[in-house]
Amino acid sequence: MDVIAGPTLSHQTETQRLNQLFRRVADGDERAFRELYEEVSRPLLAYCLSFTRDMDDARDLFQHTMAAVFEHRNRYRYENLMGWIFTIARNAGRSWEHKAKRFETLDTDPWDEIETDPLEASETTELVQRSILDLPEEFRTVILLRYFGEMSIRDIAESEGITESLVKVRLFRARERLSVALGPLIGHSS
Amino acid sequence: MKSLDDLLRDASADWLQQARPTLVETADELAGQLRPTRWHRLAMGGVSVAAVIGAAWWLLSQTPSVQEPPRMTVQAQVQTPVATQVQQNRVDAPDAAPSTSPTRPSAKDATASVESEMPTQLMADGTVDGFTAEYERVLARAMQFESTDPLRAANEYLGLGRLCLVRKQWAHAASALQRSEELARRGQFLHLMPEIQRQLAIAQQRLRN
Repeated sequence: MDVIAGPTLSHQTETQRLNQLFRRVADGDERAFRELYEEVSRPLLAYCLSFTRDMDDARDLFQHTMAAVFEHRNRYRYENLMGWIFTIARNAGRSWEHKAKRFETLDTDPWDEIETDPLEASETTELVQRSILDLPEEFRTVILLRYFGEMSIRDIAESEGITESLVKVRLFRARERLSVALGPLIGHSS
Repeated sequence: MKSLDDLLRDASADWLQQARPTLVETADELAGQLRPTRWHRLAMGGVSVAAVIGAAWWLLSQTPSVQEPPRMTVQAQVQTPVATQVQQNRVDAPDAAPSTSPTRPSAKDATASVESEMPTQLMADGTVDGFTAEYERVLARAMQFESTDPLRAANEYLGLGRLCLVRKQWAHAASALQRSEELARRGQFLHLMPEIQRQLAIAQQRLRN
């Protein structure tokens, strides 16, 4: 059974720093808001993308979530900021998912629509993106948070409420799947 | 041929590029909402401070009856001799009291003011520890001089305020000092003002605590 290690001093300090920033935002400090936004926007967008699997929809969900965070800022208990923001995003994403019913699994092979060889850079990028978004949700989320959201293993674990070991396992398996899917691009046979 | 890490980073960079306008737009929109919030908070803070000051002022003006209810059962016992003295002053004082300033009130006005305000504002404490007797004595003297010698009356009220401060009768002290301040301002006794205001500030501070 995985056990989450106790938070290090630097991690606690980081949490406190974010909480202090958020407190200033709640008091109407625009500069603090900009600073905090810089820190949370990318992980949140990555998280939204893991739900919607489409960047346009992810941007909508991101805006919706940020507005909700802003609106309910006085309800925050000053514990785990990213976890709280992700919870809001998750709730918004789930309800939106039910309404939109637009996140069916892609049933086409990403390679089917790629016609030319060698691939152009934009096509390669698109192929990688589609491969990521095709991953099962638990793998997709950790890959997006780690690479697009640039979050640390510890922060992902804390935000998702899982152990660091589980994050590492999911990352490993996600990378395995991507290596298979993108084999021709990275010299692996599929 | 790139590594998987490089491909993942390229894909992330491309997504970020696509999302950048949204990120900027959202930040600006929310920051815009923050500005009125801040002004609203500042305004509300100002209103709150004004309300607190107003409430404190009202409390101070009500202190003897609201914060420190008289311990004496029959207030008339205190009022009677003073009222008699005031009445006596009214008889003794000339109708047109010597006036050094056109803004100074006439003796009749001052007497009426004393009769209407002082008994309810200052005359209250009926304890038997010696304070009451001295308090009443100084108060009666101050009231007596209000019409004939406002400078001395202001000094008497200042002394009464000091006495009340020493005896920790904050509400009475504040009332006496406010009276002293009023007389000093009316008579333009500016040299008294700093000391009166210093003592009054102490009394008000104690009342707040």
